[in-house]
This record gives sequence, structure tokens and C-alpha cells, in this order.
Amino acid sequence: MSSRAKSGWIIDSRRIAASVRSLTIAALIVLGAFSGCASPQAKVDLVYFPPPPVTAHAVHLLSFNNLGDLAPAEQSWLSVLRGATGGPFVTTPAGMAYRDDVLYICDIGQNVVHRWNLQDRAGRRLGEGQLVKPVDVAVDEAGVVYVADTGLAEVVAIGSDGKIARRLKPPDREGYRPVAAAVHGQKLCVADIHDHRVDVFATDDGRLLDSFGGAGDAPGEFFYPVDLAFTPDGRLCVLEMMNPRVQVFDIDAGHSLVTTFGKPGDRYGALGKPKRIEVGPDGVVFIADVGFAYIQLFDLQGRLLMLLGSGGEGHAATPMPSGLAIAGSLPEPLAGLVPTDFEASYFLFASNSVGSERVSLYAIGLGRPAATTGQ
Amino acid sequence: MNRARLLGLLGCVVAATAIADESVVNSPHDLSARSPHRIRAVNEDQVCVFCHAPHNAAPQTPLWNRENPETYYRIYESSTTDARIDQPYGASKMCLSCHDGSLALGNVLSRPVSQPIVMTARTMPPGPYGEDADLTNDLSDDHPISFRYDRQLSNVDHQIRPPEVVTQDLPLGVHREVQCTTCHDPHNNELGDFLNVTDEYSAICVACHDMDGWRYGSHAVSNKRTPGRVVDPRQRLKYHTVSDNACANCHRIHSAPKRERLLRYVREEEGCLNCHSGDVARYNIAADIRKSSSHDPDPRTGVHDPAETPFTMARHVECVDCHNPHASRTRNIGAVRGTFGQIVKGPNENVPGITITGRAIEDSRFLYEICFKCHGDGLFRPRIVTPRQITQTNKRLEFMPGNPSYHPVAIPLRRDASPSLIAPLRAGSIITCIDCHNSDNSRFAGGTGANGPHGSLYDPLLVRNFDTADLTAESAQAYSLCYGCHARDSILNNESFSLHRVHIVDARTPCSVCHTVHGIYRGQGNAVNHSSLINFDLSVVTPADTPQGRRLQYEDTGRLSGNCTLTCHGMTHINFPYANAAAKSTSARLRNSFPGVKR
Amino acid sequence: MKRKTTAVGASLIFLVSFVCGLAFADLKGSVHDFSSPKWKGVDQCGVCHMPQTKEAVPPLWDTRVDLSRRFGKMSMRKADPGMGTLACLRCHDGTIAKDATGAAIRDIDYPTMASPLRFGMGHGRSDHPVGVEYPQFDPEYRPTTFVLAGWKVTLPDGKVECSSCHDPHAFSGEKYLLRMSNSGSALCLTCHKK
Repeated sequence: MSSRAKSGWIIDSRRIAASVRSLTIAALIVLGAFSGCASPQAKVDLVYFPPPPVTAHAVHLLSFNNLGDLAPAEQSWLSVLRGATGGPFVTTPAGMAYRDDVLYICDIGQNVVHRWNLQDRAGRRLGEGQLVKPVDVAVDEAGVVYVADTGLAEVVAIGSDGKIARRLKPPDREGYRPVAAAVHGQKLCVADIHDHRVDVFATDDGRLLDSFGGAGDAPGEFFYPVDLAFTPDGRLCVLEMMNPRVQVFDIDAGHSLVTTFGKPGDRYGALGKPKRIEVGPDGVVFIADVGFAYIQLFDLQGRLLMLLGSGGEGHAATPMPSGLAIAGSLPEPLAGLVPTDFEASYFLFASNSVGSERVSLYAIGLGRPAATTGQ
Repeated sequence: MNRARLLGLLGCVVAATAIADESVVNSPHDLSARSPHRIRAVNEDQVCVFCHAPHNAAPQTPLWNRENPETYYRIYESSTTDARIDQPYGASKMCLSCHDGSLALGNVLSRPVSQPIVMTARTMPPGPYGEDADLTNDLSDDHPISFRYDRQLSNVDHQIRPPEVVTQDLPLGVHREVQCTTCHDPHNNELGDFLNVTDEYSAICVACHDMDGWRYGSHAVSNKRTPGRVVDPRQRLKYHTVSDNACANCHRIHSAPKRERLLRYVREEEGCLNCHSGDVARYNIAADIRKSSSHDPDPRTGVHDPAETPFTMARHVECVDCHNPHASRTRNIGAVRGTFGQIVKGPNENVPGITITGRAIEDSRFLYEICFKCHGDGLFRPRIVTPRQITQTNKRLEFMPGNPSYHPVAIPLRRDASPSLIAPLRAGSIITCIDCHNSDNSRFAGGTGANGPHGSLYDPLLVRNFDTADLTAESAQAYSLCYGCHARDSILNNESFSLHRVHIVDARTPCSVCHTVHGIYRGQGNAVNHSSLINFDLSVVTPADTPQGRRLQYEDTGRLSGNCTLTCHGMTHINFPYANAAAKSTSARLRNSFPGVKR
Repeated sequence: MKRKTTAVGASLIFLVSFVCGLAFADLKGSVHDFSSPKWKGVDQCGVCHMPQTKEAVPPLWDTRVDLSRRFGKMSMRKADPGMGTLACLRCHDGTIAKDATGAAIRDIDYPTMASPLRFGMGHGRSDHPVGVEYPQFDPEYRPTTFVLAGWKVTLPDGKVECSSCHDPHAFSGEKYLLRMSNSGSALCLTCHKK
């Protein structure tokens, strides 16, 4: 009798814990079913640029520090159960690149290049233990990643297998300091701030095709060329930091200077300390300006379009923009974040080397006036 | 500008004076060229740079400016450790970057490897600074580090305090683990050895270690001076008295010669005899254990293990088998004989033992429980010296309650006791093992030495003489062990056994021929044939030829009366009766009525 | 009233020119000497201080902005890290100049990956924290009054910034543009009670 009573009534704490756990999982599954079925939740804290009531041309979608932040809602409860919400993380981002659903982020805190596939959300670290100070990255059509490393003083080409395929450096160049890389077709352009030159390499065999510039403020000369970008029609934009201006070259026609714009200053229409440049498919020039602590939008004629971000704290802040990347399209869960009152034509990733939000994603396009005023 | 510089200079002076005390500046950890210590830089005059750098430091938290060693360390192992000790990590690893003696002292991250800071010593040197400072990659002789100190640990080991009651001056690591920085503050040498809490009275040790009985233990409270000679010759004790040095009297926290349990001496007994040879402690135990019959500590090392079980352990004896040096204290034992002497007091506090029922216990309540560890159920029994009717090598069984007869060590005799007992002993009294087994010069025996079975001239470790050879001439000396409790007058006046005098004096038969000493196990003897500890010595007593065959038998027929069937000294008794002195006439009558008895 | 303003203005101008004079005197030959041939043709203040422009152009897509706004003023930003840090990081981020941005990693709270960094699994390096409140009530640190009494170390807005230890104008003439000599680690021990 006593033993039966025992087995019937004794409270086994482990069994209770197990049942509580299974109940929790069940509850979470139900929750997940409800919250997850609704495709990416509408963000209530979207920030429009320019702010309403002016017609928006950009909208801040979200900010993230690790790849896990980009996971769609269906997966979040699972990852909470696993105790891992973060995934690969970025510490101090520098230059970025985007190609074929993959976001590349240089990280001078961890001294690697993050390769984040936004389609399947797989993170990979390129050049672990081999890179010293990766400051900019470019990707060619074959998927070869070119990393400008000021610590190694060379451009490192990392093949799709993750191994270093080639090391690029102009011959007989003392104190070479590559800070920017950009790829167009079969040409890799690298900016060297030690000799204030831009070098053009062939992507197939790494041979030096062209080299132009030199210190100075005359047209065709550079003073601290910190970033390069290609316009949609294949022209090279060279951004100078200490002599703030943008020079556009036609590198297919013997690096002839096409146009130039930008002047120093501290008011609207001027450039403060421009650090990064990127050109959208519609010809909008994005210039990350660490002096203004904004991302400035110009057209190719040099007319200021608007300012993106905010110098202060808070959501969509750009206290120290350090990298830009243009994405023509995004995988579905992220593209679904675009609000219904906004028509996105392409996307912009912008990184910050300080602040609580290290990488921000903006949609660039046009807000529908009726919808924006309705809000 | 001059004014500003002057103010700045003033500020520096203020800073310099303010940081003079309890600062890393001028401490042994000040490795700058201006340091007063032997190990320092040749040119570099910054103090912090040897460990910290404001920029480009290692990712570890305190802006660490050194490579961490990738050495594999031999870590501390002990049979009594419950903690899971890992390879050093966290802050400890940083300390070891200098203190394992492998990496150059001047190798800092803020400088190229090819141009390290030039130091007076390339690596941590052995020597006066060393020994303790150079821990080497063998950490098995150092206090364990990098183990988690949590409630789980203190629950398993009750001699570890719960972590929440440990003082905040001993900070644990990020994951609540003990690291070098728990005991040491590398920046503050106010207390010496960069300790966080003073080691006087071993305050820093007992903050975590709550050893049973330590609070009142002699080693914690004794004010005996420890002169320079009576310490580890390789390292002088920091303080002057036993209580000041406390744990450090026996243990060395770093680079201990005896790795397990971090003892100062490889041979366990040397640590004890270092002081207990008449120099520091009151009694000279070293002299006792050199006597012919002694508990001489095993010359081998490592034969005693606190985690051993008495049932399977190898035969050995060490000081710590009977004494717990953490709990031992000065207290008279057996002050009132026959009453409380049995309960463990003083020097034998808190020693594991075996109860009379054969159960292992952590804290003996009675002295005999300590003795039973070796003299009871263990695998290794003594050889049999005297052949007897009933042989038993397990002393525990001989003292069991319910035995037909026994000396009242474990429980008092319920039946009426011998009339020979000297007051205050009486029926119901209890005696102890050390009433008989004790050093011959102990205070118990009237001498000046320590009480306890350390060593004696009288085999087997007896407090007084006890002759067992046949045909011994009776004297007070011959059987002085027995006469200590059983009055000689009473015995020789036949107050108990009516024929004692005839046997002992006339026939020169020693006590041990008829009596065994400890007891008769109930599983072997019965109350009729083996009362009064009767268990004949077969080398003297032989069976008698009777009509029923050869018989050797004692038979109890009531109070102080019985009869014997045996042959001894050429005499044959067949059912030879006796009775006590009060019934002398009866016994005479009986004797006459048995014609078989010859003289 | 007007007189008073003029006086204040005059003294301000005097002060600025005095400080600038001092600054130039010490900048000459220092690592921040932007008048060297390598930097030929550059307004040597303009490397850090943005030139003040007169006219502003309204943005085409956002015409409602306040055109009088000036950007990047040293005193504008009150967030952390402050301008005493951000002004440095514009160049000292590994591109133009030696990077010191490791310091900035601390202001992110990573839920799952703080530990790998702390235990040195990455290849990164760390720097002294900046943009942090000075722990004036922590016994490990000296009181603020003591720190500031030396007239060397600064705590803008009560925070530790790059400019706490470094003087971009090389005022003291010390190595690494330090505000005071670090001989005997005196600079470190100004704040750290070790």
C-alpha cells in the first residue's frame, strides 16, 4: 500500500520541469504560428527621408549588428529556444560591398571580411588570421573578393573557396596604402592615399593596366582619394577627403576627366569630410560624410538632393558613416520590410564605426504622396 | 604657457605623492627603470606599459599588452578535490604570461617583437625572487586556479564556505571562478605578496576554507614561537608564532614540495615532527616513535590518502591517521578515568573512524573508533602471537556488545564486574584503548611525555609491563599493566578467582595463559565457556584426557565459580571446580568430592 | 551693454588668437603638422576644422531645411562618444591614419558574442574606452577634482574622450601628442588609482 501511494503521489521535480518545458515549447509553437505566418511584420518605427510631409525619397528599414537580426520572424522563436539570437556579428565595420544577395562587410575590429548571405542567412568569415586591417572590399562578377588592406599594404583577392588567390600591388611603390577598391567589368580600381593615385588592375591576371593621379589639387590630381565608385555607365568617381570633391573619369578612354563637383564647407551643398562614395543605378551619388555625420545625396551634376541619416543619437543615426553598398534587389524577407506607401527602386546599406547600430538598411525610391500625407 | 606648465608640474608632484603608498609604483610589479627592485627595465620609464597599453592592446579586458602563453600546464590534482580544475584561463593566463617563466618580460604588444623592452632579466628568474614568482608550467604544486567556485562546490565539500559569504575583497572571475586575481591584487602590495587580504592568521585562506575544528584548533590559536630553524629550510615563515603563520606552518600555496595538498614536506610526518620534536610543541613525539614498539610513521610517502576507505587501504600509519592537524587541540583526555575518557577530545578531534558496528564515519566520537580503522576490519591484520582456543584478529569484533566477555571499551559491562577493580573503576565503567596502549613515559603512566599510543618500550605498545612468558615469577612489575586496574592484593587474595594465588604465585602462570585481553567475539565463544575473558593459551594449556575424549574447557557455573577441564604444567583438571572466597567452604567440599583431581 | 559685448568679443578674439598662436607654435614639427611638404596646398587647419562657407544651397528634394545650419561643429554633439572622439576617428579609422576605433566596440552590447571577444578568440585588438562617463565615485579611480587639478587631462562633459589624453594641437610637445609626459606612467596614474 505504502509503495503504491508513493508512486502515485510523490512529486518528481524533473517530470514537472519536463512538462513545463514541453508546454512552453507548445505555446511558442502556437505563438510562432500566429506571428510567423504574417510575413515580416510592419515596422512601426520606419524613418522617412526627407521627413513627412515632404515626399520621401528614402526610408530607413532596419539596423543590425549581427546576421541574426536579419532573420525573418518565423525563425525567431526557434532561435530563442536555442539560446542563440545573434549569429555572426560585426564589430567595427568599414567598407562594404553587395552582390548577388551577399553582403560583404570589412571589419577592422575583428580583422576579417564578413560574407553574409542574406538569402539563406549563412555567415562566413573571410581572411581570418590573414587580413590585418581590411578597410574596403569589392566583388567582381566571378565572385572574387578584393580586399584593400592598409595593414598588409596590398589588395588581397580571395577566391570563392575562401583562400587568397592573388595579392595585388603596383610594382616599386613605397608605402603603398590602398584604402578603396571598386570593380567594373574586368577592371579593378584601387585608390592609394600614400601616393594619391588610382591604379587600375585587370581582374583576370592582376596586371597593372593604368595608374593616374598624384598629389595636388589640379584637375586629374588627387589629395587623399579615399573612395571609388562606378557610375551606371561605367565611369569612375574618385572621392577626395582632404580636398573634398568628386572627379569622374572615363577609364576606358585613357582616364580622361569627365566632370568634377563638390567643394569644402560646413553648410548645405558643401562637402565636409567625405569618406565613402557609392552611385545608385539611377545616377544618385551617395557620399558618406564623416564631417557632417550624414550621408549626402547628389546628382551627377553635383546638385545636393538631400541628406540621409542623422548626426545625433537615435534611430537611423549616422554618427560616423564608414561604408556604403548599393543593392539592386534584396531577398524576399528583407524586401518585404518596405512599407506599402513607398516604392523602392533599390537599397542602400550604410555602416557606422561607432554608435549602437552598426549597419543600417535604407530603401531608396519614391514615397507615394497620398500615402505619406495620409500618415 | 610657463604658468600652465608649472601648474602641470605641480599636478604631477601632487599625483606622485598621492600615489606613493599602496600603489604599483615602486612595488615589485613596477618594472620601470626607476624601480628599486632587481628586475626592471634598463631604459623604459613607464610603469603601466609592461602589462597595459592604451591602444592596440589585446582584446582582453584590461587593455592587455602582452601575448598570452599557449603553454599546456600541468594542473593541480588531489584525491579530495571536488572542483573541476581547468587549464588556466582569463586573468590567470595574463599573470602566467610572466609568471610561468616562459615569455620574455619585455615582450609587449605595443612594441615590435624584434624590439622588446630591454630588461635586467629576460624572463622571470628563479632565485630569491623566484621559487614562488616563477611558477613554471607545472601548476600542480600551486593552489588551483580557474575552477568555478559556486554553491555546487560548497554543497559537495562542507569545508568550503558558500561563495556568497566570502568577503568581497576576494573577487571571483567573470564566471565566478577562482583566478590569480582572487587572492592577489597586482597593483597593491600593501599587505605583501600583492595579497588582497592579509595572510596573518591565514585570514585569506580561511575566507574560503572552513576546516572543521580549525577555529579552536591548536594550530590556529597557539602562541608558541616558530624559531627560524623549525621551518621549511627553503622558505622562512613570514610570521613568528604558530597562530600567526597558521596554514603556512604546514602548507605552501605556491611551489609546494608535496604537490597534493600543497605540503611543505614531501614526507608527511616531517611536517609534524618539525615542530613536535620538543622544539616548538610541548611534547617530543619524535622520541616516542623511535621506541621498540611504536606507531612509527610509514617512511614511504603517499601511503596515506584522506580519501582512503579503512576497509581496503594498504597497511600504513601516519600522524594524520589519528590526528587531524586542522582540529587538534590541547585538552586532557581521560581526565576522570572510567567516565568520559572514552569520548574523543583534544588531539584526536575530527578524525574519521569505524564504529563498533563497523560503519565508517567522518568524525569519530570515541577513541576506539579511530583505532578500529586499522585494527578492525581492514585487509591487513596482525599476525597471531599467542595461539589460543579462539583466535580473532579483528579487534572490533572482540569489543562488540553481546560478547560473552570483553573489556569495557565500547560499552560498559552489564554484569557484575571483577571485585578486584580499583576505584573509581566499578561495574559500568568504561575504559579506553589508551588505558593499556600508551607511551611508557606518558603522563598517564606517570611520566612527562604525551599521552597516546606513540611508542613504548613494552610490546605491543603497552603503557606498562605485561609479561606473557610462562613460569614468570609474580611481582608487581611483571603484571603491572593488569595491576593498574585490577588490584594486586585482591587478585592474590583470591577475591575473584579463588585459586588466583595458586596459579599466579605458586605455579608462576602469567595472566595471559588463561585470559585473553580484549574480548571474546560472540560468534566464536559463548557465555558458559568464555566468561571472564577465559581463552586459554594453547602453547601452555593442553586438552585433558577424559572419558568423553580429549577436552579443553572452562565452564562458568555462576558468580565467581566454575570448573576447568585441561592439562597445564603437567596437571590435569577434569571438571575441576572452584568457587569464590565467600564460599570457600563450599569449594573445599566440592574439591574433596571430586577424586579425579590430583595435585 | 554693447560695450560689454565688444569687450567680451575682443577678449574672445584675443584668447582665440593666443590659443591659436600657441597651437601653431607647438604644431610645427609635430605629427599633426599639416604644413609640411607632404600636405602641400592644404589649409592646415582645414584638415580637421571644416572651412566656414558663406552661402548654402537648398537640397533639391528637401527644400524646407534650415539653410543657416552649420555641420560638424566641435561643440555641437553631446552624445557619446563626443566630438572629442569623433573628430579623431574621421581619420584614425585605419584608412587615412592609424586606427583607434577598437575603442568604439565597447558601446555595443552583444548578447551572444561578447565572450569570444573577451577571451581573445578574434584577432582584434582593443583600445582604451572613449565616450564613457568618468567613474568619479569608483575607488579604483581618482576623484574628478584631482584629475582636473593638474590642468592637463581633460574630461569634456565629464567623459573620457580621445582628447582627454591627446592634444591634437601638440600643446605639450610630448610624444604621441600626449597632454603630459607619461614618464613613470604619470598620465595613466592621473586617473587610475593603481
